[in-house]
Amino acid sequence: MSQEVEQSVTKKPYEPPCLTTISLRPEEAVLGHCKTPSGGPGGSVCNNFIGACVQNFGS
Amino acid sequence: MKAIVGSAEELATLAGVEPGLQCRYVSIGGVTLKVAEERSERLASCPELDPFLTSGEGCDIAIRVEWVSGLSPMQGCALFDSGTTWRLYRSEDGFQFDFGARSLGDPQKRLIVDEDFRRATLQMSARFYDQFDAVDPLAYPLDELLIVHRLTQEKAIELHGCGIVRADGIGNLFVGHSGAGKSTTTRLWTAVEDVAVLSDDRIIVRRDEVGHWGMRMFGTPWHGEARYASAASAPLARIFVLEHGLGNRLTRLMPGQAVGELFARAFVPFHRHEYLGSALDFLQEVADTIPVYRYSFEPNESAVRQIQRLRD
Repeated sequence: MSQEVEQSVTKKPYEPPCLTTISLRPEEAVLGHCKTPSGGPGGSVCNNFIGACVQNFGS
Repeated sequence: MKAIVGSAEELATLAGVEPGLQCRYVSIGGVTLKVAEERSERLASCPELDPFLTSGEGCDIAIRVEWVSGLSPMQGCALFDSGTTWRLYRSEDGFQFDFGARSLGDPQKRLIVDEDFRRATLQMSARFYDQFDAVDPLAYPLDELLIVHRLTQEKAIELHGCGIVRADGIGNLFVGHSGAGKSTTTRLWTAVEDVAVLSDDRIIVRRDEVGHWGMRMFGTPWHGEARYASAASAPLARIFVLEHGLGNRLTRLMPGQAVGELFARAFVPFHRHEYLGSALDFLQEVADTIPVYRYSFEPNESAVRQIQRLRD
């Protein structure tokens, strides 16, 4: 009996689950855009359409 | 952490014993790529990858580069379409990535890779690349996609964040979406303290195999506006989820909240539920190991001072 009382005193009140909304940014997450800016020796080019690091030496 | 790929014969072939092949090793975030390429004056290395070149003794992913006259577009449904420069298809033994904007016609290059992301063949279209004097076959986004997929097979993940290492060698990671303040944070810390910046935009976190800190963070070549891209790594002490705010306010996140916030700022392949599961499992481990805070900050020196005073 006394054990039951003790348990009821220490029992934590019920807390309903909390729903948290997390915002995703798919346009950033899928690596679809160009990351490497232009510049560098030989005039490196990287853009959305080429999708590559290429160089045109002397041009 | 390292795994040797293939038989000794295969490795010898990849190492450049085969006439006409040259080999280079690139190590990013604890993943080593071994790239065997036909010798060609057209091959160049992206300057961004130079700090990540290693001499190499083993590799995690072996890639063979081949030049083909042209590539035909794939028929059928893609597993995933980035909407811009790459698409993913199922192949016989794994996956096939096609690179190039649809508006430009045929794919410019094609990566055929096994399910474990251990060995790959990269086909380069001469029809497309002939117009350029030199090209790096690994160029973005291929390099990052390959690493991100390989990380799903290991206890590691790539996060959108800047990694700052203080003079005592211990690192803080500040994660955030674009515009959240990563470049600003980098600028503030470099102005106030003598710190090393591993990256101002992309950091790889993995289990610390060396020290006793639990987790370690690594720089990557994929830098942000401030162009910090280091091949170094450091033990990870804390993670901060950046937000702009009035005043500086730190809130310690419960592990469940931390997993959600970190997942939203992680680079994870979304096309397969196993990869999402593996990412969430690892983020749970990170959140159980490293204190994660939400950091609402003002873009001035006081934001740095607040962290300097922090005791967990």
